[in-house]
Amino acid sequence: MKRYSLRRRLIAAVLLLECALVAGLSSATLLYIWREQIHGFDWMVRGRADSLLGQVHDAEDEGDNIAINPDALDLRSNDIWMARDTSGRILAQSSQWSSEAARQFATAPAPHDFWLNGQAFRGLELHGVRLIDAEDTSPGIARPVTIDYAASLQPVYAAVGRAARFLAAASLLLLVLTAAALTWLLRRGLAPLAELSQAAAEITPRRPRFHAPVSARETVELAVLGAALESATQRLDNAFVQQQVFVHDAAHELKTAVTIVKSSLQLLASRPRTLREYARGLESCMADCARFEELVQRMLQLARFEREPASRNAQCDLAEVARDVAAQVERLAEIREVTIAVRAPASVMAPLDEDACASLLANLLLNAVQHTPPGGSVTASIFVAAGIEVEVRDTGRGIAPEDIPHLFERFWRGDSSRARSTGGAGLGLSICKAIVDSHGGEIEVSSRLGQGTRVTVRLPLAVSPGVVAELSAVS
Amino acid sequence: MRVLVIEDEARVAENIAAALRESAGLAVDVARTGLDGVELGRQANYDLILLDLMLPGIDGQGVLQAIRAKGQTAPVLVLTAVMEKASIVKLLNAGADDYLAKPFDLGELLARVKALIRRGKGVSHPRIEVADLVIDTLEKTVTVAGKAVELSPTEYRALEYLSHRPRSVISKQVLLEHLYDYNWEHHSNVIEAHISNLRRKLNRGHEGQWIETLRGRGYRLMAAGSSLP
Repeated sequence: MKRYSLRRRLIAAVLLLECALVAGLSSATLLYIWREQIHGFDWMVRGRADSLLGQVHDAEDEGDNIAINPDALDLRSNDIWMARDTSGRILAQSSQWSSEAARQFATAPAPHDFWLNGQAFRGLELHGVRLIDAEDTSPGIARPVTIDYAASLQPVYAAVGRAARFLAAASLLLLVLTAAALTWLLRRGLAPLAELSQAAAEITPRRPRFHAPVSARETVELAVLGAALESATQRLDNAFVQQQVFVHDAAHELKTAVTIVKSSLQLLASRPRTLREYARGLESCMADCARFEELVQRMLQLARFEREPASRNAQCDLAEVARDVAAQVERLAEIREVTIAVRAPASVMAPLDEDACASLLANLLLNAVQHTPPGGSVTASIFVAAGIEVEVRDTGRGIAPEDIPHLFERFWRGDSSRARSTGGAGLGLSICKAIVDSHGGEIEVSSRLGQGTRVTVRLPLAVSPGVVAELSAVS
Repeated sequence: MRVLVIEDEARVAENIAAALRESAGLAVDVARTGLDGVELGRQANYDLILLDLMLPGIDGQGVLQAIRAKGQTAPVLVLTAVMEKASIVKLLNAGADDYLAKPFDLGELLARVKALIRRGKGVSHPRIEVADLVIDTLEKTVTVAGKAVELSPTEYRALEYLSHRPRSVISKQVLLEHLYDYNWEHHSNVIEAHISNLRRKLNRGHEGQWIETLRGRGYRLMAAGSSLP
């Protein structure tokens, strides 16, 4: 996995953008400076050509020949120039004038650039008139003169180059300052993120507790992340605490069970006994072991229903299972002189596997029978409407209102004498709740002391895929 | 000696009570809830209280505080499935004298029970000597001047109880309470018969009285032949 720094990426992006902008702006500035320089240069060349024309004009000559002393002219020594008349006769020329230069002027009369002897020049052609023998009284003879004049572009290049160097240095400085400012600002600006990460790094699996730092909570962008982390760790913590409570309670139950078996055996072995005493002792040990086994089996069953998500394709006939379970519980009910009845349609298909179905109904019916005094009745009813509703109603002693919230807690037994007499492990309703929860249903208990208890289970007609996904995500 | 067992799990309570009765010759009462435990722990004169920590209603910690607040001075041995240091420290600070983790060994439980009862009586050695009368509380044997004296379990228990406080008067009622649990009928003439047998057996072949009867007040153990104060 390649890691990258958000901060570096951001700085690089800003600097790249700034580079492009600076480059664009510098180019425009240089273009402008170049044009201004050329404009000035053209005026300068024209001025020099004019001054040459003046010289030609003023030249004393015999005939049409003129002689011009370049030293007398305020012209640059490396300029190239030439003056000629209409017939093409050269009146005067600079020392560097050559046929090569003449060709450059022949091709373009307007101010233009050209290369000569490896040097850039810019020149123009000026048309003037030379008056010969002009007196106060006579205008003299007018002779048109053409002047070709070019100067080296070197000074322009130098000026533009200087401007370019200045702009480059200024841009570089700007980029460096921007980078430094950005680094500092980002470090400052991202401080809440760093604090949040540090706080998050302190979450340990043993104690998943997290509180978003104030700086992160005050930052709009981080508040959401902080809150999400807080609620996630809160849920994790709750699950963790629940797990710990379960392990603690399970350990207590198992240790108690071991204590019973161990002390029974030690008591039996503590001194010589009659055969009858041994037989009775072993019998009660066997009964203790059976209860122990039942406890372990129920704990495993609970763990399984809590862990495993509901199977999507499971189907069982709730009505048929209810009748089967009722038939099994019938014997216990007869001993306790309780009547048991099932009211259900011929068939009710429910999205549970048969094992879960049987566990659910057996736990509900057994609970009801065990908590109903002789002469009472237990009725299981199954209705189908928008969902499936299973109602188990008894005419038992009822449950005190303050006990109802604890009913689904693991290992919770109501008043102890009652729990002992019925021999429950306190897991029946927890198992029911685990089964119902894993199928996206709900379970509810309502009771009146002395009148009876009603347990209602509501199950959907089919387990929605969403429930399955959510439950498997949780587990 | 009389012991109160406060334990909600019926089978555990049964086994402990049976072991204490059979192997240690103790009278045992059983309370199955915290509330019953507080009620009994307050009423009777116990020589030791065995207290389970996880109880319905009031838990062991609450029971301990309640009975101590009501002036119960008997040693308390706590039975616990939870072995966290913090809760043990809390228990000992609340007035418990010792603890034993579940699942415990019955032998160890009996040994601790005997040791705690002894400590509660201010006796540090399992051998009690009053002049040339020697009681071995581990072997449950009695000798007078080196000669073994055969006693019935009740006679032995009465002698052992009296020997914990030699020379002081112990009323018939107190002796009854410490020798029998609630399952027995309390008949003071039963005690009288036992004491009379005990006296006869101790005195056989010796001069003087070991156990003196103070009419209307009770009994006391005296070094045989010593003059009354």
